[in-house]
Amino acid sequence: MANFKNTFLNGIVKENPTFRLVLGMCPTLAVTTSVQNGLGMGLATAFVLVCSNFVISLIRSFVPSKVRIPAYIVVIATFVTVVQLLMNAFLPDLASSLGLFIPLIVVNCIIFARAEAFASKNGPLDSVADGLGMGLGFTLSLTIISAVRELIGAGTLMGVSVLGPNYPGALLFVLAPGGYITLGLVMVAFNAVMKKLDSRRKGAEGSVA
Amino acid sequence: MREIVKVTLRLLVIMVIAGLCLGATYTVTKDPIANQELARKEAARKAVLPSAESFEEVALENSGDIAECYRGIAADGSACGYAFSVTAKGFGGDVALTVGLDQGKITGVRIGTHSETPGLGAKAAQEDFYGQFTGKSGALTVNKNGATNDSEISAITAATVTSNAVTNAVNQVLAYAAENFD
Repeated sequence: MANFKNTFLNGIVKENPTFRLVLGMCPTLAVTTSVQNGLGMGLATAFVLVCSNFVISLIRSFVPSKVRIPAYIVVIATFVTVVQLLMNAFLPDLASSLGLFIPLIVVNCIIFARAEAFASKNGPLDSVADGLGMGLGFTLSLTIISAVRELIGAGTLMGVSVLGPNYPGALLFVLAPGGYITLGLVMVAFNAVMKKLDSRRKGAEGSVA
Repeated sequence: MREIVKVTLRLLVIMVIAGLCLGATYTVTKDPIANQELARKEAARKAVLPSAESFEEVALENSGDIAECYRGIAADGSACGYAFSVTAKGFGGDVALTVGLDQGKITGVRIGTHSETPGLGAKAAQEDFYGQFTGKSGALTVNKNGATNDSEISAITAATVTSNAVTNAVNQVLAYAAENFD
């Protein structure tokens, strides 16, 4: 169980897919124009990641290593399509707010990277933990970036006005260049905090020893 | 040789299972998805033509971007205007619109699926923008500095392309209806 927790936390902080592994940059830059979009994309990705990690872990000994890449892609694409069809049919409200992002998940390299790097080498339970951690880490990163962009760009959060109706808005942050700038700055901040925490932990261990 | 056969067979098994899963899901969800789509369109028509109780489709000819037209029928059985679905070329791609008309006057406009920039063009889907069209008629123009008279629409700030696209599509509907129905 301790292992489960470590694997889970690993994805959120230590190997955060966006800020540490720098994976899935395409959706990160494209959809983080508002908190609603960032959160939606993150959660949809997390769901598919958990499912695909679980299935790939189950079939890992059946899949010959020479053809693992086409096999994983088929599994992931099938999952995404099934999820999309089911959502369209039975959860139309959710589909109308997330619908745009579902097809994008297939090309999100986080899913494939975790299948290749983790699920193909670990058991189903650990793989689900990894999927949850990585998925929520991705969600957290997208939410932070989109909150910065939405607040500076449009003066709102989740569509609710924060900076008042007279805020002129900064178009740059809503458009693509603002995505790059925000991503860079948030990544710097995240890694600076991580570095500080790391050196403090080492210092504490040193004083005990 | 045996290696190749084994690899091929295993990949085949995975593909077949994936294909079966997709086929099964498609069969199960086909009707519900079609129903959802119909319900969504029906709801959009009701929203733009509130006086109509039911709708019947009208055939269109040379209608440009106008895809569908429905005649609205009021509760007492009399005709009460038309609901059109029309596609506008927005900034990020197609913008689906539903426009309601009664005797040349707009009874309502709603924005359906679109891929306009969130925070900018996507504001077209808010009532502040589409509500402006209600009650208007004739040829409409977009004014970036805010509407000054009855035939002008206030543009969405920093989204002139979207504002123009929606307004032009509405104009197309107005022109088509004026020529063919009244």
